Amino acid sequence: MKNAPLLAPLQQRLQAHLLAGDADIEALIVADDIADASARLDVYAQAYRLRLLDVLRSDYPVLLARIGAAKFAALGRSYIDAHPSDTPSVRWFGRHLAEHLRIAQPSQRALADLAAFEWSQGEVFDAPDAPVLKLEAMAYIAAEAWGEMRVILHPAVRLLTLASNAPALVSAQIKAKPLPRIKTAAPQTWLLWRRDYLIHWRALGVEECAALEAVRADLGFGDICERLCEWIAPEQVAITAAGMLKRWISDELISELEFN
Amino acid sequence: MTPHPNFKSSHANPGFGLGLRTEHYEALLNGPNAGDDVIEWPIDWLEILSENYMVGGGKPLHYLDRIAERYPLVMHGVSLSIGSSDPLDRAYLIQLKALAERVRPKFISDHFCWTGIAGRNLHDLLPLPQTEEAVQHIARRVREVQDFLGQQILLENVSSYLRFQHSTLSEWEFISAVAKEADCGLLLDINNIYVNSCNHGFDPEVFIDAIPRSRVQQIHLAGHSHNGQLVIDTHDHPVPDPVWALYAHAVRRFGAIPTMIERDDHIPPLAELVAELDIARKISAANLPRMAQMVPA
Ligand SMILES: [Fe+2]
Repeated sequence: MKNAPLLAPLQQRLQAHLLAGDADIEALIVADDIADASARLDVYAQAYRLRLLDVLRSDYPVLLARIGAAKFAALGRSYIDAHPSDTPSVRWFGRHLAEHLRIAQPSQRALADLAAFEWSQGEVFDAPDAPVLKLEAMAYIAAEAWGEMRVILHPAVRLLTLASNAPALVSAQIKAKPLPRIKTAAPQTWLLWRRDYLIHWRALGVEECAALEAVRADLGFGDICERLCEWIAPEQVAITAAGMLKRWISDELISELEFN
Repeated sequence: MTPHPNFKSSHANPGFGLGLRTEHYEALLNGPNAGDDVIEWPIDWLEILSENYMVGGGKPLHYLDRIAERYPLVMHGVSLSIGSSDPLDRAYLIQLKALAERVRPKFISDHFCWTGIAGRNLHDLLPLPQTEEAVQHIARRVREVQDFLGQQILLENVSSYLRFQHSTLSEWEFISAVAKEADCGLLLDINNIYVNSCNHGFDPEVFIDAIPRSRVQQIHLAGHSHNGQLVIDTHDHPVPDPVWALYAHAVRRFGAIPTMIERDDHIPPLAELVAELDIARKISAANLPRMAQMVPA
């Protein structure tokens, strides 16, 4: 064939055609009695969007249930065009959906929250494994070691601040109950973690939230206690912080305690 | 655990496997009879989709390790993009090798395709022009991948819905040439051969008869759907009769090759796929060349 395209320009043109329909490639495709070139190209163009839409459906089942199949498909198609995949696994394809919703539908803040919450659940599900600390370990902390001690969170632990009732929708879906309406609410930070391969979450009070954020910022336990003085009387701080640590360890949030 | 009586039927060949699907994790670990009288499923090995286990940890790797204790595994990937004009994705290869070190698979396979360029991944097995340029390009990359992994890989023929005007080779000439140039193995998907024979109008037996015997190391069987004029490789149906007939032809040519059934959608209970696998065992036994049927006493 005269002017046969080399591999690279051929792939550029086919990809441009499949992603955006903006390259004319029909002349390069064999048409025969079985099917013409455009029918043949359409199989690929349609399969591309359907496959990724399926991925989004399985990553965001509650969002899908809340807004319905038609609106979800429209959202999915706009997402697929705005965020073509650049990772080897479809596992990460949907990671920008909450951000996409925030920009595409700024009046629907609560839906973006729901997407962010569902995505975080996925992160918790297959985050790296790590040892979990046993409660007995607390008995071996020397009195003078508490101040400098650093608390290492399990890699599956997430903190997520939402301004909606998104977690209530996810809970309802899991219990196969009717989904409540999605609505905005005062900002609230949620703790998500994994235990026995199951995903757990709970709302954090302002003190515990500050303490966990300090843990995440790699502060020593003494500095964490100092932060808590903003809400808690100085003579109560140590016992309150130790109580929080005990609960985190029991819930399997903590991988280890580090001492210098 | 006592072996399932059907295990005997696989002694004359290297085994019959299934694709590992999350829906079957518990059934695989519990055996066919829940309770005390557990026996093993008559499944000789399982094929995992490599990308599904390229995650940090949690349930996917937990189940992978537990199932690997019970069944030999082979790895099958979809994102090597061996035909892409982008450079090979080093980060992907590192993950693939790490997974292979965990799984110790007998085979690592991917497809004769490309999945994207310029850093994009369309997550589809896109068709290649069957040209000498593409043969050389792919063969060079396969050798690089094999050197990196320290293991020969297998490449699978894909279903396709279009061909390029400037292709100079038939599909069977193309994949045989790559296998020879790169010294890699072939994973023959019998359904894909059938699908392509319908979509591009050729005799599927001609395809099979042209493939060098020594290159074929694994066989896939699957079902498909009809979409207007074209046949689509959907993997959502039982293996249909024309694919079984073509499998019988492949067994007559290649002898006993590890064979598995792929089901990616409308996934039935494990027992149903195991029963389908028994059909493959019977067809294989009935069509093996005489010598291969003789089992040492
Ligand atoms: Fe296949």
